[in-house]
Amino acid sequence: MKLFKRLSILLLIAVLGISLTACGGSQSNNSNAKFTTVYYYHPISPGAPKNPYNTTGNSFTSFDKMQLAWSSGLATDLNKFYPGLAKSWSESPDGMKATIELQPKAKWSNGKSVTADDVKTSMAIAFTQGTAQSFSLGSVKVLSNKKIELSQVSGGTYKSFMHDALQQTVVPSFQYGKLLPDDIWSVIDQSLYAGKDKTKAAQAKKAQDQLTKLGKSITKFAPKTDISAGPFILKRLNPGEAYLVKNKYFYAANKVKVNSVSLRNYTGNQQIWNYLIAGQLDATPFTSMPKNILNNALNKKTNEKVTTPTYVAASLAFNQKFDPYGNVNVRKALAYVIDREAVQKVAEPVVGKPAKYTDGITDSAAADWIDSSVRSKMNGYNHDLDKAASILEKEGFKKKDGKWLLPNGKPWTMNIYVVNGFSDWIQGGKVISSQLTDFGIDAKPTIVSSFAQYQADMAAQKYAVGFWLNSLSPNLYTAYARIYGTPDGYNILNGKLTYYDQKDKTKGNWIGLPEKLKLSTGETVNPGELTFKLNQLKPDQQKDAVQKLALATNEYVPMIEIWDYTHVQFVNTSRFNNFPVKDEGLMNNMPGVWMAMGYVAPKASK
Amino acid sequence: MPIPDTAQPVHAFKPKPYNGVSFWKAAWKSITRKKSRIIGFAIIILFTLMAIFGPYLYSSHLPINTNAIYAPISWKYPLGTDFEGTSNLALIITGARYVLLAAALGALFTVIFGTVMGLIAGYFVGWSDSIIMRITDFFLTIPSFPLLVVLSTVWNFGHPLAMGFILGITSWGGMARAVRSQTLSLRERGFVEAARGLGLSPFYILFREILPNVSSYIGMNLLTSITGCIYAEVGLFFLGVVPFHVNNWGVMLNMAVFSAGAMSSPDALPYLLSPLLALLLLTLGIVLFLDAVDEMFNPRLKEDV
Repeated sequence: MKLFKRLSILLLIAVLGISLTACGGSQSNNSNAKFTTVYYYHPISPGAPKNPYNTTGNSFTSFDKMQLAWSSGLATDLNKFYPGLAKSWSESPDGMKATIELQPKAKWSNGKSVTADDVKTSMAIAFTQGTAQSFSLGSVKVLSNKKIELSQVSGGTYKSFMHDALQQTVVPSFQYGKLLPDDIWSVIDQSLYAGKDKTKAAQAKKAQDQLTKLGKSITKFAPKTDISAGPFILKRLNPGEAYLVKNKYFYAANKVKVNSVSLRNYTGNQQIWNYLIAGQLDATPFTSMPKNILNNALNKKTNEKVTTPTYVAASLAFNQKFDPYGNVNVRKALAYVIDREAVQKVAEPVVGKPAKYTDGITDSAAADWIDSSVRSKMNGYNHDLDKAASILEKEGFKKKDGKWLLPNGKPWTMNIYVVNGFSDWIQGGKVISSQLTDFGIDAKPTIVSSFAQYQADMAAQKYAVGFWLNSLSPNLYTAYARIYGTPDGYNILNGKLTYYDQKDKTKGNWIGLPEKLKLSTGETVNPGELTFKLNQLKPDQQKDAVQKLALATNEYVPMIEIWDYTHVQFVNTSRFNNFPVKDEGLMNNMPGVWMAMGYVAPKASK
Repeated sequence: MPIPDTAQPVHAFKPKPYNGVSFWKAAWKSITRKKSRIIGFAIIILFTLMAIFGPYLYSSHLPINTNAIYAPISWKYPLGTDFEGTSNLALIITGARYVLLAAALGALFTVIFGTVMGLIAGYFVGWSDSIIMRITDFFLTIPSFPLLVVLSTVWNFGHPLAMGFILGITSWGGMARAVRSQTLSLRERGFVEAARGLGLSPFYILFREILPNVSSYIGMNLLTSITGCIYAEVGLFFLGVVPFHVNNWGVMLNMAVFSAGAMSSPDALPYLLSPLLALLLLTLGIVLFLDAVDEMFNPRLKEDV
């Protein structure tokens, strides 16, 4: 009798268990399936505020953090945008004004309408974060409830004004407006003064300080609830994931077919690889990985690899203050020593391609900008140890017992600085060290604890040789400013170009090229001025300046380009389909944008 | 008085003088008594030889081979290769010197600090005891590994001496407490009383009378501290907070897990397992050898006396 009782209880448990598993199985395939991915910009930190201005904040671009519009990031069409909170936009012929019309149906997740006032408040906050100044914003005029006009500062000549303005984050005025003083716009006006009147200049300085201070308090602001005008709204946050659900007030809610999104936390690439290999991520953003991981990921049949070009390159940069790197021929010799193919094969085998030319931009971008006549003048610095040796000998270097000695007779040693956690840089630094050591220069990689520390030390001129990301964007001004901007002493202050010599260690000039560079064409150029000029020209007028900058970079080698990154992403088609894999511009954006545009649909339940 | 026939001449009593057995002979005996101890001893000798001669077996710069990245185990690469095609065996052998030297120095510092502090505190009691024990408590309450992590961001551990010193500084607390309590009990014993009665100096009493009695404990601790120090330094390197040496076992583990994907794909497994195997073998050797050390220093355990 007892046995029967026990058996029946066991049976009951078994039946319950089976039915529960069955429910779980069907749930993963029905239309309620949640879309799982990782947030590209940072891991989840549950303690951080739900604030888009906080660098680790729990506000997620394209999901619950919205912009006016989303840039396609295409080199061929820099001005192609996908609508965000703005429905349409137009620019005055001189590029000084941008008029933006908001989505008529745009609402915040509490049902309130998204208005021009929200945009105005957001632009005021952009001044406190320093972003508005970067695109020369001068004033904001509310034309109607849903229409707004943005103007450049008087005398502004920034050609990407509307391009940058459209990419500003928009926050609700009823939540963030109270953080700003009532006279915020007069403070902003004061801060923009660029004339010679000393009282006004002092006032401007005071206003700028006030804005900076405000900016800091805004980044710390922790709103109690997440108010979103995006397709999703944050529902739950824990150390494992951020869980977002569909926002019924989203202006294009009918296009969004995904009901919830899980942004998984990660502590490093390795964790993302595990999710990817297990087929748990519906979309995997760009992640550096070794070949064995790529193969494993592709073993999962539903994982699809999507490759689009990027405009980011990794290079080995020199501080010319340090001996012997101030000598251009030494930098050229080093370019001949480094076997870029071998470095890329070890360091970035999957998401990289060896750089063909050192010209300041990636090879894929260069294809559109550099004519064959200019290309033929460029040096490929292909791996050639004999050539490197002969250059060094000419410069007075001597080789003794297999080791190169500097012209002053001292041994040549090199620390290549890389960042902890950047495995591609560490491995790249190690291979380059091996190649240099084989050649007779004692080199070793040195790891810096964090990227923030690395950037600060680099700017403070502490490193002679280190890795650097150059190019960065299809926008040629941004690309060349990675070399001939602040790193080489050229800064834009109130719309004017200012040069700081390397002797002033506080201004961040860590490259230290001379101001005037004579090219093989006989022309003398100032790379800082040329780069600044790119900022003033429309893309179709930029070609001449770009070619000169590319040639100057090739001839003066401020940094040796090692590899170009390729933008490799994955989508998983087991739970969702209709990914925008054919639309390169959308693939350059995050999944929230895809969904808002009507892409990504759950597969029908089995 | 006639001597009876049955009487035997009495031989003079001439006992063999006890010359004692030399320490080394006794030590050898305690090692060879059990097979496990011999194995432990052999492993330790192997690693010591590796640390001393390893770097001379290879060129100062290990060759790389970009055509053999994460190569599987073969005759050419008995333990496979790393991310740039360098033999893992070569990395383990050349890396042994730093790891072992730093650990040995760390253990030595631990034992020296701990013993001296413990002896002084336990023998003199009173205010010196209070001061030393409060300092000890301070070091015991600080979690040593996080402290190491913080210290390593400030100091450069490029040299094993620096690493060993830091490891020693952070781990002597427990040792000092144990030696103190043993000293407290020994100082009340008759032979110490007698030595004090003879007017011998405290220095003599501490180091000639008390120290030999705690030497077994110290010897054992020296070896266990070595394993502790190895784990601590390899842990630091694994976290990537100390200088990057491609042949450091901790760096190898770090690169295998975080760059090579050894946890997600079997291709890079030899790269992960090589340093783990080295660590496992070394720990095994030390644990097996501990048994012999106990007997060497503790006369009561000597089975033939």
